[in-house]
Amino acid sequence: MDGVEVDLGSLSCADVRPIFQEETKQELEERIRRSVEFLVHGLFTLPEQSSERKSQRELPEPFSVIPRAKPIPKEKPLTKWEQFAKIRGIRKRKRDKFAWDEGRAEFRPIHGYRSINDGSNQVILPHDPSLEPGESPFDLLKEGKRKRIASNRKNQERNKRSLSKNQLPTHALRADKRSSKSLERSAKIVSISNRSLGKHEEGKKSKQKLSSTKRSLKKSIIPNGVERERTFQAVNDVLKNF
Amino acid sequence: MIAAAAASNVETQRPPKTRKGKKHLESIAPQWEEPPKGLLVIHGHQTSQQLKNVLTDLSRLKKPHCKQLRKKNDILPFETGGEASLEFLCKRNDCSLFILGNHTKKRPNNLILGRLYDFHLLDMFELGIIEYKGLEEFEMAKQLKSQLKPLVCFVGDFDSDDASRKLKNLFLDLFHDFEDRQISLEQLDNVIVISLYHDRTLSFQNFIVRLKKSDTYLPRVALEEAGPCIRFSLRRYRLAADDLWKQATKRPKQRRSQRNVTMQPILGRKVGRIHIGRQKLDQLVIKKQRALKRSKEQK
Repeated sequence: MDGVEVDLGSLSCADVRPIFQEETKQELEERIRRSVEFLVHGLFTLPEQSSERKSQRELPEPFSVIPRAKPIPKEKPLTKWEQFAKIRGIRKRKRDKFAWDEGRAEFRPIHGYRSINDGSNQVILPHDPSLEPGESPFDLLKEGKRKRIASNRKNQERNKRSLSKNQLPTHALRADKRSSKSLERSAKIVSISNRSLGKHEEGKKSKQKLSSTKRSLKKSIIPNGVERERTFQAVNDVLKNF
Repeated sequence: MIAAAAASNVETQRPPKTRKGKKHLESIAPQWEEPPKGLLVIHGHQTSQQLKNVLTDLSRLKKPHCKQLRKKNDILPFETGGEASLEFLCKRNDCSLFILGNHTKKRPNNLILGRLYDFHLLDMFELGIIEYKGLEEFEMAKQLKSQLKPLVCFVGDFDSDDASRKLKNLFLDLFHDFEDRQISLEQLDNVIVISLYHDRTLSFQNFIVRLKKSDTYLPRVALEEAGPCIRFSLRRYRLAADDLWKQATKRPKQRRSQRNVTMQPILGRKVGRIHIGRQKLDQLVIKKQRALKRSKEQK
């Protein structure tokens, strides 16, 4: 229809012809009715989804550009385990939180407090012939748990570090507890930072890289004869003027 | 730039202390496919009864994605630095659209419509109410079903200049619903009509859509007015800066699932599977061999 634009995706239509002064209310309402009818007909002519739901329609992509409310989220880097799982094709599957405990004849949580395999309350343990005399199987259980927690925490820290590779430390850390490398990095970031947080920096300063300078041994060693040449050059340059 | 990026992350990176807090942070975090924008209805330092009615009516049309603040808020967003408290309130309530009503001697019955991107003011329009007929005054208003998707219709020369183009976009932003891509034809209930007149005044109307039988399978549409009906005059406006607009309208890249590509389990290498057509063996160019040659007798 002339002058009517329809965007089925956003359920909108527009009669872009200007409204003139002499147009009556009836004429205007007829214009509105016609453009709405055009939109409704467009919706009715969309392909049916299924024979069961005859009135169901899937809307096409809208072509009206509407600004977003929040920026597009950045994708998080994969954790070490996720990387490995992707290569191996391991899929995450949902596991039950509770399991049937035969001995106690009730459902108990699989992990955590009061869990099925909670070793802390065990009074009797089966004899392990590999144990040396004097070694307590109870201590061994505790030790194992402590180690597992420690290694898990280490992995967590590692993933956190890789996540915040290009970011400032979010909270103050004690200088003596930080590695020299991380201190150096912070100093670099600070050296190129400013009050406006880089908002008005579009020049090269903002593009400065944070990579640490590499000292090469080769550069600091001057080959034989070069120094002598340089000195003569300098002397000649000075003497030229006299 | 690095420092700026880091600073914006400081807030989001602070780990939540409770599970409830974590859930809340997740619910307000940016998403690929965004939920419908919330509308924050704010009363200015002074409001007339008419203005209050308008605000209530508009929030009723926007239900359930609407939050109304009942207390007075002394906000003048067109003044320098006036948008700061507005941005704060919107962020607090997780709303990216706002309507602010205030009534002054200079600008009586003033309505400020606007939106935010990343809780920074994007654009806003000041509209003065000339005429108003509320929802209560229409018989048909009782038949309006709430929480249904309205159709939006624009009449008039909205494409003539940038301001009216953006105003049209803002009204569409207010009332459209992109969340669900499915629609039931029985769901079509009402249409919101915004008209731009020759003297740069606007009208806001709401109609109930009636689908009547016709000779074809396409229905005939009849409209019955069901308030509110408001006539506006366009006052001041502030449009979005080009770069901010560009940033805000950026669409996320479509993530396509990779077909015929698998990861080799042990080495972690990508393996692609390609299909080549059937080999034409009879047309294969090979070295001619004397033994295969047809003899003179065969010829």
